[in-house]
Amino acid sequence: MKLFSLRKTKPQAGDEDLLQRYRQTGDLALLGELYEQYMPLVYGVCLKYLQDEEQSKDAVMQIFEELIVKVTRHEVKQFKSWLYVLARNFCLMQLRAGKKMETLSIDEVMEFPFVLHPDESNEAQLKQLECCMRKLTAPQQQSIDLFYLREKCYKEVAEITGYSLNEVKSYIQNGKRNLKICLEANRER
Amino acid sequence: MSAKKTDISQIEKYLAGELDTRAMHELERQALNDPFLMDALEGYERASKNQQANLTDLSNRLQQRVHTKRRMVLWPAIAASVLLFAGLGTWWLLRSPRIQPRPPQSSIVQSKSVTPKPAVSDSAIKQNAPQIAQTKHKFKKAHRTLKTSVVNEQVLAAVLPPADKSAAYERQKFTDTLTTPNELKEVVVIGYGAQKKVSITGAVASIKADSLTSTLSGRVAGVNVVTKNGRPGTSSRIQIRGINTQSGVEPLYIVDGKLADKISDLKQNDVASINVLKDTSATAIYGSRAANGVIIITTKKSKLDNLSEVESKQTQLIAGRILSKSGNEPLPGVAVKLAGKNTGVTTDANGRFKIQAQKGDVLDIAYVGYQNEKVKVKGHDSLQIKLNERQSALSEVVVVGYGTPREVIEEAHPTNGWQEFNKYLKENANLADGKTGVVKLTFVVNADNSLSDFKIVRSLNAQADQEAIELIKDGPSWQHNVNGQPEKVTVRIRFRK
Repeated sequence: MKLFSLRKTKPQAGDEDLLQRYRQTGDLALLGELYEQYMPLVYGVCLKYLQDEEQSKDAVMQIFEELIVKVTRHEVKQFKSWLYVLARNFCLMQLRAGKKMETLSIDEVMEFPFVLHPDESNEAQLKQLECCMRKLTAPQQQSIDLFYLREKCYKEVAEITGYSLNEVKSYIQNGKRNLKICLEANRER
Repeated sequence: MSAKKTDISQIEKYLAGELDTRAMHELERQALNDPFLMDALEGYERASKNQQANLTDLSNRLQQRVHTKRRMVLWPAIAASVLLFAGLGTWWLLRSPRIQPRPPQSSIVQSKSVTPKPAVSDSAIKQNAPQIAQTKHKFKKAHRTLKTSVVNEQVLAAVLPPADKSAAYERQKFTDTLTTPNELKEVVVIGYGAQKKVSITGAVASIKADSLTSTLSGRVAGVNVVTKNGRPGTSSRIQIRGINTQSGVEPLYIVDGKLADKISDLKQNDVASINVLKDTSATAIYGSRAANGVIIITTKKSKLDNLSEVESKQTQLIAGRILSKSGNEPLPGVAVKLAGKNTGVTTDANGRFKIQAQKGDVLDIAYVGYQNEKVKVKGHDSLQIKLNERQSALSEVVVVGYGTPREVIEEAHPTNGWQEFNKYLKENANLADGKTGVVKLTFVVNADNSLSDFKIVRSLNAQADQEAIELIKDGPSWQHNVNGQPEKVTVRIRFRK
């Protein structure tokens, strides 16, 4: 009965749940199922670093192998983020082995916080936000403003501001980071 | 957490520019929060447009991987276990032939030595006969089949490991201790000369007869044979390495269980095997004489003969006394040799000797000035032999060299010798009442040559006893024992008419 119910709730079953079940039963199919959900993303990441399609496909499979080993060994709290780190590290190792060192700009390798901030809707915090916004540099401020507040897509922002697409992305990312730092600094006070 | 199921089609549309701005924004926003997505987007951006085919392919591969791997995991395990079993099997098989002979031997014999064939040990000997007899058959394989039916021999065969070498020697010793045939009460092995148990420990080297055509040297590590001159027949000196041969004393020779002074008399062809005890632990068994090592030689004849002889006979310690026929004087320094063998002893100052012999052995007795005698060993363990004086001229010389040459008569004896003493007794042993008989008495010869402590062992009558004591007291003076200790002397006086 339980299986049945689980089956029904499959789309909603958490990653953690699948992992747990895998650890208990050792049933690889479970792990496969979990992996399959993220496979496009993993593939994409591999594509980004390795660029070659065939190589990327092999990498995806190899990452899966690593996954099998590591899942049992480590306690994985956030599967998605952990998988991301795993995939990225693998690709980087590949690159290093292939002596093909891709120079990544700092922006691209920047770590992003995965933990979502709790929804802050109270006045004080909004004020904080505004305050911090003003501290940003002009392009950053502008890009963030357009993207988040006006809910424009990159393309639009690029058109409006006149910056290139990559520049826009860069500004938004950096701006976001700075805001976060600022807000945290304020919070500590 | 953001939505798990990344809609690849959405990404593709985004990349294709098929999404409206709103949707694009959504995706972008999502990407900003999710670097995973961000990276993937970038990846897809750089790659060619239609990745769906690849993704399906990947999906298939994953399914394959997930469902077939189990079998593959098993394969190495199966292969490994098969190899392990094969390895264990062959190892066990190789071991097992050795295992079989071992338990009987080890149960009986404690092998502590380096030699491949262990020797007799104390515990082994003390075991009961039936137990030993049981295991006898197991030894048959390893040893020559001993044709015997006597319990003695059975016990020997069972107790003693591989027949050659020291076995013959041990066998002899062994049988000596048995008093009655077909009866095994308790067995104690006595080492030659000393009352110790035999065990071969330490460095022992053995040589088999079949290859014994050359000398000892070169055949045993650490044994050197030095000939004084090149002449055949001269005795050679044997040096055993590492042992004190500086003093010039040779190692102890034991031939067929008897102490031999030198082995130059041995015919090489007669020698069945040689055991060399190289280390000084031999002294524990053979005494300090073995400080220079021990060479145990088993002769072929003895091995084969002894087998048949031991069947029905045993070697005994024959004690005897040699007297002159004319004067009944004990003859010292008489050579008593076992015919056919190279062992012999000399009589002591009192004409007594002890020799290991079997029933049927012939003792060759030779003495300068007397006719040689041959005496056959019968069942008695004590003999009295009388030698006739030789009237003819002394044309031959008998070298008295067997055993340790005694130039000095060690024990207490009449100063002028036994001959004179006996003469005196004969002349004076007359009783007033003319009675005849024998009085046996003992007395002590002290270091100052005085006599004391007269005791009558066998009395005739009171008067005769007294007379006997007087005779001795008034008789020729005595020479005390060389070692300066008072010694008890036994004298037998026959009273004649």
